[in-house]
Amino acid sequence: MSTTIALVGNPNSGKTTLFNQLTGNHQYVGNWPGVTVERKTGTLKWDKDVEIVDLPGIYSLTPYSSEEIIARDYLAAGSANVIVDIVDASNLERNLYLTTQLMEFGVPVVVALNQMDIVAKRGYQINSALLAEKLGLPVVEVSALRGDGIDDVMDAALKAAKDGKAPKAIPFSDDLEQLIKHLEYDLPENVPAHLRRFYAIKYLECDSKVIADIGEIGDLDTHVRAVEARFGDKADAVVANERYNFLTAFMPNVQVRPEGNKSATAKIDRVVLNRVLAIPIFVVIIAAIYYISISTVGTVATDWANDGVFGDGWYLDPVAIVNPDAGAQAAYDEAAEPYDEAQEAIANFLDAAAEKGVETDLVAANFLAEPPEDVVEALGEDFEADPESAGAQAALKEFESQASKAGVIAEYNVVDEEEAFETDYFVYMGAENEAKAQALADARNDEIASEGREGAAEAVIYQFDGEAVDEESGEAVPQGIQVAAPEDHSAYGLWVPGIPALIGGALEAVGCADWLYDLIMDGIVAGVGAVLGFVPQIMILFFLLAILEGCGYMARVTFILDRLFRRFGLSGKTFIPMIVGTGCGVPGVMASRTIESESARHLTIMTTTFMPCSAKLPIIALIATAVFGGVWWVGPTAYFMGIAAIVISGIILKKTKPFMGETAPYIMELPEYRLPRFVDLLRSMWERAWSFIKKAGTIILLATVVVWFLSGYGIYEGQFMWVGEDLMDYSFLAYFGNAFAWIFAPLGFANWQSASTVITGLIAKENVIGTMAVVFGGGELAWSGEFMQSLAIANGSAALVPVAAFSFMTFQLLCAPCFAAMGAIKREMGGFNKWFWAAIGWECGFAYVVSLIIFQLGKVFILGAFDIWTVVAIVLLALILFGLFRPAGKRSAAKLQVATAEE
Amino acid sequence: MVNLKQNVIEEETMTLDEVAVGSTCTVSKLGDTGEIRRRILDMGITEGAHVTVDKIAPLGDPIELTVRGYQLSLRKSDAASIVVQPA
Repeated sequence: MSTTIALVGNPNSGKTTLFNQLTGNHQYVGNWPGVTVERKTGTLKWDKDVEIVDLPGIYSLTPYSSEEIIARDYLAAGSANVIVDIVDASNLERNLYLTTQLMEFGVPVVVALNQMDIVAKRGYQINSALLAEKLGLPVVEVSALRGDGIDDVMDAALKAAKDGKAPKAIPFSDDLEQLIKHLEYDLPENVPAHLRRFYAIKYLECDSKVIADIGEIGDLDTHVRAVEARFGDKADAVVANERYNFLTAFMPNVQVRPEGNKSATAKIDRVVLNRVLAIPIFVVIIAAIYYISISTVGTVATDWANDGVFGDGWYLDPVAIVNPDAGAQAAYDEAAEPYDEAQEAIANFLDAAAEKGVETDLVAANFLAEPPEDVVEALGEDFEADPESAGAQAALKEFESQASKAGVIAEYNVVDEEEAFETDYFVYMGAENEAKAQALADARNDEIASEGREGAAEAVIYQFDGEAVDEESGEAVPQGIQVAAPEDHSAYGLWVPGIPALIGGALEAVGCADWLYDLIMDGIVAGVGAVLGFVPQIMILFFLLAILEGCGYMARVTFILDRLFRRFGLSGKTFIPMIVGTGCGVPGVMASRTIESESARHLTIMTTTFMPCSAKLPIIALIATAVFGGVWWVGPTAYFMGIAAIVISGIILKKTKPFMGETAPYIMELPEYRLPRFVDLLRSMWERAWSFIKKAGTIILLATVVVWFLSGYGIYEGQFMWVGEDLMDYSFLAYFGNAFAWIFAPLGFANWQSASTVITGLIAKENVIGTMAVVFGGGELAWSGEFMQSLAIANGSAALVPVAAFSFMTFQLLCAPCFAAMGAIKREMGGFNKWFWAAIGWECGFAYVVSLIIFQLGKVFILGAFDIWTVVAIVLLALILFGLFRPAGKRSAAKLQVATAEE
Repeated sequence: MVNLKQNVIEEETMTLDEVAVGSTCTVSKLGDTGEIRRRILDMGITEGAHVTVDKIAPLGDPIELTVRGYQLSLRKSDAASIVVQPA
């Protein structure tokens, strides 16, 4: 026969830790009330017949919050054979208050006295034998954290389940007992005997859920009034009083606390919650977390993951970690730099020569590392590049004589973004053209000097084939064709090839079909790789958040911020969903369950996903680096916009009818500070990161394959065919994107590629970048350039690219979240009801309006041209401001009415 | 009996939000605090309980209390409906 054990206890009493110990599961553990928001089931590690149910942490059994309703319904249904009540021994009195209620379900109860190690450390003394006697329940001392006493508590629970003896409910005062007994008789017959006392008490307390459950009893009012007449207070207060009185009566005998010395928590709080220091400390902590995870360590880790693991490859090189300017990568870069410079000069010179009618194909095919595809194709499959071959040398000689005769001089410009330095190259061939090139360069240098840009730009000459003399050392330096290619990566250190290189090599080795190669490399590896590259950054962010949660600071944050959030119709607790939401919107939305007030909870669910979640980080990173050259303010702005969107939505919506009413209540336990265990931090980090990786392996993998198919195939000239990069405008994705693109015209990104990322982003936000990599194509650096170009074309102006890109980012950050998060919203709102659609509609509408305002006002600012859309933007902005500043509704009048009705 | 009790309250019309930081008081009655009333009771703020006001949040609200050996935070507006006597 199988046994079901229900774990019940106050929030933050260590239930989940015990559950993990018992089942071997790896549930997420935090140090703030309300970590477990729905019930979880597992089987006992050493006996699969024993089912363990982890119920959400609750303070009481009122229908006050959804967790309490979940726990109460489960217990009243009678599916548990025994209740294990986890009692935080360091907070005995309030924890036992719940115990007195659990004793009324007619189910055996075993008390697990948890956190005895903390009690011992603080010098408290607890007499658990006396406690057992007073309660009439088995009491077992445990430390869930260290795993002490786990076996004992299970033995006691299984024995109690076997005996099946219901505990004797605690006695109330005679007067109250009499009233309860009386009401028990009046309850309908279908209330089972063992629950009659529970229902009678709840009835007296006017518990709305119980009254709804079994209907109103004719003279309930008489009973309630009888209590009030006898005690001069409402029944809920009387019952709560008597429960606590029962406990306080024996508490001094059971527990001895040393007087006087202040606890460590009080000392820490004196600083952390100090009236002057609290807010600066909070800002510094949050800023530090994002600085570490996104700007510094996170960037190094992400660069490694993106450019190394999911790029060409990386060096296993401890030197580079200490000093990035030394080590194998630096050595390789030093060797590769002149070669890259030479290759660029050769390519540009060949282009310039071709324009003058000189034949260049054979030279290009032999001497360029990456010759143009059409040139290679024209030469046929048998052609193999070999600069040393007689054919290549002859072609080079012929080309050089023609190019120098034609006086070809190629001019191009290279910008070093990091150093902010511009170099203009003049490439020439043959001694007779050197003077001409030098004259051009001198003229350019004079121009630079006249503009006062000497430190930022320079013009130089460069030979297509030959040597130059280094001015400093006087040595001859090879240039152009003379520059040798660097040796293979592995010549400079321990080289670990990147995953794309490995997979690509393996596929070529087995000679796989071209379309399959494309699917795997351009579809799966490019798309999934773009997403997985962000795993290190996300892990660091989650680790740091886990520290904040684990130590107990998160609960303090709500204490600090409550006043602020209340103004927006939210509770200080809204901060927890927001912070969790920066990791992933799904647990973020779920964390809103700890908010008691329905309207504040709905508001929180509707707005939590405005926070940029980890999947949106790549979008921010892309726009920040590719469009804005890595300026520092883009990242913080994205977070600021998320917070602003929540605040603005809160203020506007709070003044609308559905959200009018009571301000969200706030009552919160501030847990003792704890040093989080490293293993819990790792577990928490890993759980969240793993769900991100899992998504990359499943839904994103599928989405990239679908996107690859839709973008690769299409109908061209009436035929279903592979359209590839050249004809991508005819692909299915282009077709779908085009159908939607017009919607985004006022937002500045009306092209099918951008529109299609909005669609794939709904599957998962990680797809936005993955899709862009596929539809814009052409390798890591090239596609962001293609993206910007597409924006320039869409708006007919290159000057509008930054503001259009920013509008694109804003829309992607604020619009409806991915399907997984929408699923969470659906669950929390209670189905596909008006609240669900209101949430999705609000998010999309808000995103659209804000992006439109940004783009249109940006356009006026940049181009100075007014049009009809400018008017629309101004009207929308005015509407938002009106929503923000209009006077609140007549809430106080409504409240007054309720008060008079009660009189 | 009812009248007697009300007289006591009228003599000591101090509410929890008026209690100075650092001082302790005894709860004598819980007024009507709407939907949060029940939770305040559950958290142990019942008649006769000793409550110490520890702190006020940096923005002036909420307040932090010690009640029944643990720390609880509560808004001033809710504390205003809790009638207390100096202990």
